Amino acid sequence: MKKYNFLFSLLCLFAVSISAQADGIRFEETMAGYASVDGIYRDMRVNLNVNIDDIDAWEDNPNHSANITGDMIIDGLPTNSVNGTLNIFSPSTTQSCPTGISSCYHLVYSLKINDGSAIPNYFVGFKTVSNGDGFDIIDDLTTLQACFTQNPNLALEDYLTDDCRSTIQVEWWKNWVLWDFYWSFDVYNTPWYRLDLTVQLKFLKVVFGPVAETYFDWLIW
Amino acid sequence: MDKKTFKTNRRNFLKGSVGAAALTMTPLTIKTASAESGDTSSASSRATLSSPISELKPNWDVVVIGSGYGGAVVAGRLAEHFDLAVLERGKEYKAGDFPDNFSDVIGSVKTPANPLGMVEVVPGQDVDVVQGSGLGGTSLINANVAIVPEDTHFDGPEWPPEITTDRYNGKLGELMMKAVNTLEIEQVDHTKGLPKQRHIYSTTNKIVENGGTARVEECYLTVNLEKYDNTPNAQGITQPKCTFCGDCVTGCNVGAKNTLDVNYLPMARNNGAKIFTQCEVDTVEKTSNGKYQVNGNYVTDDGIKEPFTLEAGNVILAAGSIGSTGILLRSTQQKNIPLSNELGECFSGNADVLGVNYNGDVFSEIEGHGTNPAPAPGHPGPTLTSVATHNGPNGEFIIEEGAIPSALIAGARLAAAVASPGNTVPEARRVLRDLSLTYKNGAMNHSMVYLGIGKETTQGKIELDYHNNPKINWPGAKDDPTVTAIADAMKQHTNVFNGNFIKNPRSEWYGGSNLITVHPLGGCKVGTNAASGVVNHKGQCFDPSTGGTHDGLYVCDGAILPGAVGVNPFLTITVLAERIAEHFINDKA
Repeated sequence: MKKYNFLFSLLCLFAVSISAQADGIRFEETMAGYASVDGIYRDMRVNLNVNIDDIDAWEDNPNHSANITGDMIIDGLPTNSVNGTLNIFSPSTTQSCPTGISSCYHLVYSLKINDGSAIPNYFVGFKTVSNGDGFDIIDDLTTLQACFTQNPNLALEDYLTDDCRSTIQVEWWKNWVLWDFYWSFDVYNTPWYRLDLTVQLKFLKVVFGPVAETYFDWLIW
Repeated sequence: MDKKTFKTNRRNFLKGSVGAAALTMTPLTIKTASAESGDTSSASSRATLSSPISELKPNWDVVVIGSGYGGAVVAGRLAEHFDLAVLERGKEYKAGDFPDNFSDVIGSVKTPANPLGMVEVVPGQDVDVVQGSGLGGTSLINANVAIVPEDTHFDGPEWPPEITTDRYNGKLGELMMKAVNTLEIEQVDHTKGLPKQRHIYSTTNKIVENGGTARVEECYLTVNLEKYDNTPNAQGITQPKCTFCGDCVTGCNVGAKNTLDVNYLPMARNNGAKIFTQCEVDTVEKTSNGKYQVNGNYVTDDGIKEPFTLEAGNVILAAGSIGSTGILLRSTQQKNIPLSNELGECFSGNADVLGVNYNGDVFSEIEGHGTNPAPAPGHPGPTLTSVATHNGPNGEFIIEEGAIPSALIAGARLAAAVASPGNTVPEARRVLRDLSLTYKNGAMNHSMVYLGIGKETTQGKIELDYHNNPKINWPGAKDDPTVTAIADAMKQHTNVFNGNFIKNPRSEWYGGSNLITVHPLGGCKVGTNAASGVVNHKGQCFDPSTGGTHDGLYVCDGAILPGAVGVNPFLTITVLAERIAEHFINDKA
């Protein structure tokens, strides 16, 4: 009997440990485009390391952020490190959705620029994921509409005003960008019995799900 | 020819007087854009300025031919002193009358079948000229940019010493302020965040960072940006604020542009001048009593020409460089008025170069939206708002950023896409967005229209063709070093954000390689005598048969400039017109 009790306890402990473990994923993201700084457009590139410790929590809880670290390179200006957060499912507003799309959600990036300023400077922006079809759906998903600001809590619709206007994008049409992006994925904090591929697919489903449902509805999601 | 001579009799006089009185007393119903659309929130309104042709008397103290920056100014200043008539070949336009779609733009081109068209294209062998035809002249369709020329502009030997002296004794500066105050100029602050303004600031900044020499600044504009908010301006014309719609160059349907029909021409009218539209002058001849006979045609709304003649003690030609020179060329050839052999010489296109920085990486928002609601997120702003200045082979030259008016967007999108369909995936995607006509973030809104202006090192000549119409003869104009330098600078701007440079549409899209100028200058240049110029510093025409001047025959517009100004010329023309008006009043009032 004691033997069974021990096995049962072990099973419970295993179950608890499974439930305590989450699916975590890390990846590197490079975006390029132009920054609008002090009324001047400049070429810009950011290299970011995104760390999502729990995909499910990240998806379900808007306050559960992924962590970001990285570098920001702007033509003619010093390179600075950045750190911040990435949220998903931020409530969108009709003003921040693309024209003709009434419903969408955003991947919201909020990066503090470590430039030594007494008043911190932030680079905040969002990508848009919509479940409508349209020519721009991939570009919306890969493009960060962003703003340099000292207000990290800027309203989403203000990211599109004329005072902001920084735009950087994952250059998805370049093979090497997609290659680097794919091979940068690293699954962690995940139960041993779950395949890395499963976690990666879960991440892709969370981020790209509405897009894939639109274009590949013959797949089961 | 069965010429119709207007005679004044008691009945006509009374009829005219009553009509004029009624005009000043009765509020008129003005057709405006907002009235048509049912929106009454903003639109300018003004009374009709022109008088019916029945009021055109056979005799006047002063007849001003043309109502652009020369004619409107002298009419405004002289009207209180003289019995004055303004003859304008085009129609009178008000806010809401201007074309807002492509077919209307085509329909507004002045042709033999459409003699009252608002936009005149004078094709040439080497240079095409685009100019306005209507009450207010080219101010109806210009981009409102008021720039003072270089300090040394009036110092050259081509200028009469009296004008150079006036620069140094402050007189020209005083007249400049007088013009600026009447035209009421304002400035768009680039920190307000217009993308196209930010675009040229950025490209210029990059050129400088790469070791180039350039500077960029905001232009002063004759646009009511902030001053009046549906309130009367200095001449009593109610003006709404500019809506930043980008449609300035097809005519302002808002009424916010400070065109000449809201400042100098109402001033003339208020001071007693009579303004007659649809009166195209052909020739001027001297009469035996020392006056001048003006021969022309009244063009009915149906395009039928009814000849007229009238007599005036003074005739001031202000029909623009090509118009005034053409009238004098015909007058000297057909009516034997002795004029300088310099007539027609020294034509300049102000080194105008049009170019497009097409489909670059950066959103520029240059597509106008006219009276339609602005598509999110913003507005293009007035057509031109900022200017980059570079060093060239003949002094400085400038490059101005521009917007495309709403009526021309579809055509521009298609033509540019044909010229440069896109070399990369993002470029091709933006082109496809344009061609779909549904997206705002396409190639054209990632482009920049440039207008380059400078001083050529060569000059052309205005001559009459076999129809007795003035034409430009200027072999090699497009190879002028200044023109080449401007095009090269545009390419530098274009390369900053990986755009594709498209030279002016005439050369890229349907051949010909012609330059297009919107600033025709010269043809009746100022000088010190008949050997060096057509008019003296007061605008009076030299008479080579006597060695003096024709008393009462004047030229007062861009035709008198001895060459390029190097910037948008209307402010310079206005100042010289103010100066001519002052001398005229001092000499004759």
